[in-house]
Amino acid sequence: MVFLMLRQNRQSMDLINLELKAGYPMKFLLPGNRTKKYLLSFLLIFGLCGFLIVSPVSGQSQPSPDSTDLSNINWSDETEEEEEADLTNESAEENPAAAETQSSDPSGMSWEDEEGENTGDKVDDSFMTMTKAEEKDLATKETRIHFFGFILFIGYILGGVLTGYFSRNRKLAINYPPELLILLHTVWPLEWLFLTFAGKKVR
Amino acid sequence: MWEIIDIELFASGVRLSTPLILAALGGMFSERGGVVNIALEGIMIFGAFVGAVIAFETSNPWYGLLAAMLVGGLVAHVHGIASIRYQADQVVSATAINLLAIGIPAVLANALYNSTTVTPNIPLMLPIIEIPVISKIPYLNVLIGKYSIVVLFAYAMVPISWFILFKTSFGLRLRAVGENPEAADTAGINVYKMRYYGVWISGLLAGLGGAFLSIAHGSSYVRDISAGRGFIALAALIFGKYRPGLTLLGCMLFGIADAFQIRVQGVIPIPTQFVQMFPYILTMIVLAGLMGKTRVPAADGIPYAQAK
Repeated sequence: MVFLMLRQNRQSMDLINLELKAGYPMKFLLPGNRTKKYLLSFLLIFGLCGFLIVSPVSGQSQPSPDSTDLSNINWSDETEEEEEADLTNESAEENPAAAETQSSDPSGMSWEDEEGENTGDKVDDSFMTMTKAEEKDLATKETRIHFFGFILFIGYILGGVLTGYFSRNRKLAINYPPELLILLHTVWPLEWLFLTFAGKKVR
Repeated sequence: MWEIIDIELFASGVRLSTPLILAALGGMFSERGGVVNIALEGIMIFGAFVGAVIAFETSNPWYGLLAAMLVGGLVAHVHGIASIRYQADQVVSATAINLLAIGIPAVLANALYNSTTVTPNIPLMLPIIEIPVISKIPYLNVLIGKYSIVVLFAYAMVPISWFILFKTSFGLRLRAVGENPEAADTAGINVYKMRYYGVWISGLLAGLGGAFLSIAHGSSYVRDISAGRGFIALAALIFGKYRPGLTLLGCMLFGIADAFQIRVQGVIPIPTQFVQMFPYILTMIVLAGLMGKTRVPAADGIPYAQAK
């Protein structure tokens, strides 16, 4: 038992010596009260800023409480408009033929525009009616997207796991800070570049 | 009233418990390693947003799923750097991330799509998988016959997580670091590295849970899409006593409660707002005393400073 403990102790001492020999590459990351406070304050302030920035932006799309406030409306203008409307009605009553030409004379309308709108509707209809061949083609396309997507997804996860397993005894995983290792695991194809010069087995 | 309690209720409960399972399993890796991760909620929101944006831009939901996982891992890594390397208060650091998750997706969505609340619908959703034999058996086909691949992945992750935690040297080291980091350090285990791994895995899984909400369950990111599911996942984790099997039961309980409140709306003469409270009230009741005594990992939430 004592022998085992001594052996474990020696192993951990060896590791510490190894780390000291290699030098700690990111000394500025070592814990310090001031740095800790700065980091926490930054995270909190940054988060709050984001929250405060968003609040007025999201408010733009919602109706403001001012929109229900009717005190700012100039009611006199509105009565004038109503009066004008009444006048046109009256003139229409006086001269119904003129009023008819004003309201329902189709000569001023651009029929081309209306035709254009109709063709637009036709395009939409053609989109709705898809031939069987097109449907089959679309289904094949979807299957291809799912197949290659699935391969990439599973391949990336398995690649990450295998890279992590492969690099566990290497200089990269032991002598360098774990922050870097996690970042490299996230983008593991890049980790293989690092493994070329930090790929030496350490234990 | 009783007609809504049928096999389809359980099926939708299975579906709705998926993000909870993923986030809770992620939380388990983090907490077993000794880092409290209440940032699961924020990580899920980040995952949902990035997943929806990438799936829309590339027209491929798988890329969205992968991007959500990676971004979840990176966000969790920020929490890890603050709480492991700089030994900051883990709850405060995670709260900061939850606050960021309220703001950043909305700002980015506004910049990208002129809307702070939603992203455009993705053109292609994740496929629904039919399990060959089971999909032909009556009743079972409704319960476990047809699910999105993420649902199957989440349920498969339960035994995988158990195996990793309790049957591998990685799991043993992670648990040792969460129970007694000084002893683990003396035995030659890199405490920082193991804790980073725990937090990172929690981010990957929670990010995937968030992406499930926006890519598989829904078809776009909506503001506050996770609706407190990250916190409910934490409750399920505590309910499950930090064990994968029991945590699964907890998640299913909350998932079925969620499905129940959706189905019961309009059926019974109670205002919808009260019905929607049901899963959250259940969470409080369960946490208040139904679950019995939970043994938290001894060094959970305690920062570790290596002796110089």
